[in-house]
Amino acid sequence: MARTELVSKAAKRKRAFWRTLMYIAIAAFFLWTTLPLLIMALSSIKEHRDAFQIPQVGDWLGALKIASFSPTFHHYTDLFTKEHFAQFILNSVIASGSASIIAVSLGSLAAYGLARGKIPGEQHLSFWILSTRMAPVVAVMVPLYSIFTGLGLLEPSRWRNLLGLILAYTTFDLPFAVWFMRSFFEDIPVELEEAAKVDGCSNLKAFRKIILPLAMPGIVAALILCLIFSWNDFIFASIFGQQAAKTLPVATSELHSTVSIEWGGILASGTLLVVPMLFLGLLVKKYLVQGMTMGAVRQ
Amino acid sequence: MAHLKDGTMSQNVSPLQSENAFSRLFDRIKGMLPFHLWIMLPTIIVLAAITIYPFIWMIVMSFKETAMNPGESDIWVGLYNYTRLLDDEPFINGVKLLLWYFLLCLSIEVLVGTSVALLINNVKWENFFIIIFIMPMMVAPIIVGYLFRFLYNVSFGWGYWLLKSSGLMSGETILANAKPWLFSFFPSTAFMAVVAADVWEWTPLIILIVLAGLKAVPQDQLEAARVDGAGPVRTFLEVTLPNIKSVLLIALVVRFMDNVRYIDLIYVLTKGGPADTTKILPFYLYNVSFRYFEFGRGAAIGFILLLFTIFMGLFFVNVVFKKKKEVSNSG
Amino acid sequence: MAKVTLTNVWKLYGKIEAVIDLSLECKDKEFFCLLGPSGCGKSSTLRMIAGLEEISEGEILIGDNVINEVEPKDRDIAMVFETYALYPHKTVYANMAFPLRVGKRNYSHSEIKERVQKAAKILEISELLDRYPKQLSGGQRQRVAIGRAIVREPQVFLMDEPISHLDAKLRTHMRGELKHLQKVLESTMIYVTHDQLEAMSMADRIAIMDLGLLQQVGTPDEIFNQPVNQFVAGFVGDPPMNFIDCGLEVSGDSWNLINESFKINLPPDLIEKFKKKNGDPSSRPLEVVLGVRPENFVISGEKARGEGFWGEVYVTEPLGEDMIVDVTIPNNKLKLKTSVDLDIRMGNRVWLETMKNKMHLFNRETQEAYF
Repeated sequence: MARTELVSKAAKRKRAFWRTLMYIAIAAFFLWTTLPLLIMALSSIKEHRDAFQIPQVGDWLGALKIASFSPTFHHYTDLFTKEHFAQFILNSVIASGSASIIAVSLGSLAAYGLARGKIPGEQHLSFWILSTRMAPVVAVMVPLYSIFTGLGLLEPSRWRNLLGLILAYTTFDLPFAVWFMRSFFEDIPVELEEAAKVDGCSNLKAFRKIILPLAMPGIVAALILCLIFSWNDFIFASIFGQQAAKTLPVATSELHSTVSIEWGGILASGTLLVVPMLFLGLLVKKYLVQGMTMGAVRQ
Repeated sequence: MAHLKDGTMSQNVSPLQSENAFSRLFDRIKGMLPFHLWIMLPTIIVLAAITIYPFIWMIVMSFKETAMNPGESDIWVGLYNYTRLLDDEPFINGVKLLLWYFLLCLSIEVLVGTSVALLINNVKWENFFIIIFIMPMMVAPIIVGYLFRFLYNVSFGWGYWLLKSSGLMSGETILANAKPWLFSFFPSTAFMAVVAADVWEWTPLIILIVLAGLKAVPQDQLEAARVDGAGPVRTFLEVTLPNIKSVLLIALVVRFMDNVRYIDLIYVLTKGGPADTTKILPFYLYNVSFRYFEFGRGAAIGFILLLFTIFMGLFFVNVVFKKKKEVSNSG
Repeated sequence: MAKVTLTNVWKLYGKIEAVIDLSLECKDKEFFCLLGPSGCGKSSTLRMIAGLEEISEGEILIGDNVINEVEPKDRDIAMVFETYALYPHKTVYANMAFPLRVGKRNYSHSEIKERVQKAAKILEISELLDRYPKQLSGGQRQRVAIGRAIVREPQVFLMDEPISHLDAKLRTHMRGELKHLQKVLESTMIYVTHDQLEAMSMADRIAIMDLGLLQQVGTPDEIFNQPVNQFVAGFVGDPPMNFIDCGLEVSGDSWNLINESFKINLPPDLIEKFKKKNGDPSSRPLEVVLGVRPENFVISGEKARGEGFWGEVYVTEPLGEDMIVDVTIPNNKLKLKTSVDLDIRMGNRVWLETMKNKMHLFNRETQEAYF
């Protein structure tokens, strides 16, 4: 019985070539993604004179100098001692946290309603909710500014400004939360509620005791995503937080004044801003796509 | 417990409570609507308050010219705020630049994002890559702005150094460079620098979305194509791509909406300059409203911007609903 | 020559042995069936032949060529998937034309058209060529999937449970159609299924597998009438064979099967078969299993001859012409198939006798068959 090989060596080499190319491409994108972040973190623990040191143009080996420096954390500590960042962080936490909680609490109710019912004009309702995501921030801010002025939320008082900020954040967190959580409620079979009702629960009780616990993963994910969106906001905070309720992003931008740019502080503050969000992002990794596409794409 | 006509069951109401007119009204409303509708009411009311009310306010504002001095009231000018936009050069420039902005950002992000997604799909370290690639998305846009401003700096920016050292850049500045990039009809170098920052931050989102779509491509179709003899390119074009078409569309529209929304990058990197070459419409709107405080004109511009985005959003809803219908028809 | 040979083929998924040391040969133009319960390794085997799975060890040959390292597209095979795997965004025509457009050979437009239409005619789907898969019924989609395989006129057809998702009536119809098609096309076909009725009715030869191991290869007749072990005996045939534990008692030339219900004497030819299989005459297992198919019992209301045994009717299931009767005996419940005309009812006592020429005997420990 004659045996022949039907695969040539050339074909095998071709496969290996494309494979290597693929790995190079992935590596290139990997570097593109991580290097800026690395530079930011590294520079935040360098004295300015070290951070501003770059090699001559074309001096590739000199690039290794990026790793030689004596680390210092004074940029970080200065934020708290000289620039009172503790209260800005607190403002961020209060504003983002409150808005997220409100958004998710109210949002879950509406998400459930949308998921369950045949509502007349459901498509219009969905579109209305979606349109809030589409409204450019700057466009929404104009009427809000007027309204908030009228409500006295822009006067120099910390709690007024915070309230205004929370309200502003809710304008985009709430619609998002509704749209995002809807698919989680849809996933819970109606039969479970029906069984609970047959067993004697009222509608509300069935919702509280059966549906909510089952939808918890979606609710928590929505909460975290709202937190991320609100925490990272700059524009709303710069206008509605005014001076009394500065959030972390706004405070960071103020390290860049007309006189000088406090790069150390900016980079340190930036790192502080980013790290918790990285952590949160990993927590909701599974739902990121669902969140960012408002539930249109499931992972 | 009483059974109501709509099938819900009313809860026991104590005699004392039913005396109160409010709670009677409350119960009446509760009884009129099925459970899933009335539970939505509080949210709907809040939503209406924070969206519809400002929306109407915005439209009304756009018909007025904002008073210059405190104490004066606004003047009603009808459609003047809109008609004067036709001559408003910064407005037209803003529109042009906005088109460039989202066309460039989106096309690069989708091309690169899809390619990377294809590359890392089903590779051994896929999960690790996903975790790394999520990071830029989690960074606040304003921080991305400062980061890139740091990198682009002529004196100490590593980005600047890299571009010059690799010969990719001939000019001397990045963010101050108002000269067209590459071709004469292209936006400025500074503009491209902003685009690069946006691409850095948001390409990962496209990667994740496309990856989700790729995983939904039925394995058996890919195997059938393999047995039929299709090579990788052919398989991608004729089997994979049609299957991820709707996902790509969703990614495009979602990114478009966010691309037009955020002006953090421009605020930090160029503030609209140099020479207005990065003053995209949303940023111009920001200036008009919050630097010049011409709220009336700002409202008009905002309304137009909103219409433009909603038009694209309609498209989005159609795709999503069509997809949902398709899924329920087949299988 | 389009025979397919597997030599000592193994498939490992990590530590799991899905296919263990499998060797078989499918002849040219044969309808060869891989039969077995889920998890037995039949699909893995088919996918290795197709090239969709790596071959962990061993060799697979198509014709005289070792194809272990060859890409599926170069093996000159066509596959029909269990889920059909039609391209949803292409018309039926485009689905069937796809393999012709992308393969190594460059077919002209007219050649493609001719081949597709020819295949469509054979499968009676000519009017559907402009439709999309989602507009077709399950049976139509399945025929398109087959059509996509036919147009290539490959050396070997591979089919992975192609009719398991059709409704029962259509399945019965398609069994005949597929068998006819294979003969008309004169092609080698390897067909995977878990349904023993499909295998028995369609195949020229069947290979039964269980837990990765090949149990038996043979024609349907051989599999049915000469099963080599209890697994094969119990897998093929509906209702399945009855297994009754008993002891083997030998006194001189008298060999008997004994248990609490009966004592059955073994005729000389069966004794010979046993001796041949058993080998060593000095050691004989005392514990054996008697296997009798449902249709190989004789039932009567009264004790006829000496060698039968009593049982009680548990339930009767009339099926038109036939009737299934469940009979309980001490420590066992038997299923018998008899004519529906027999007048017996639940609770009746019945006298059962086995048809000796149709009895099977198995070693209780190894489960291998003596006869």
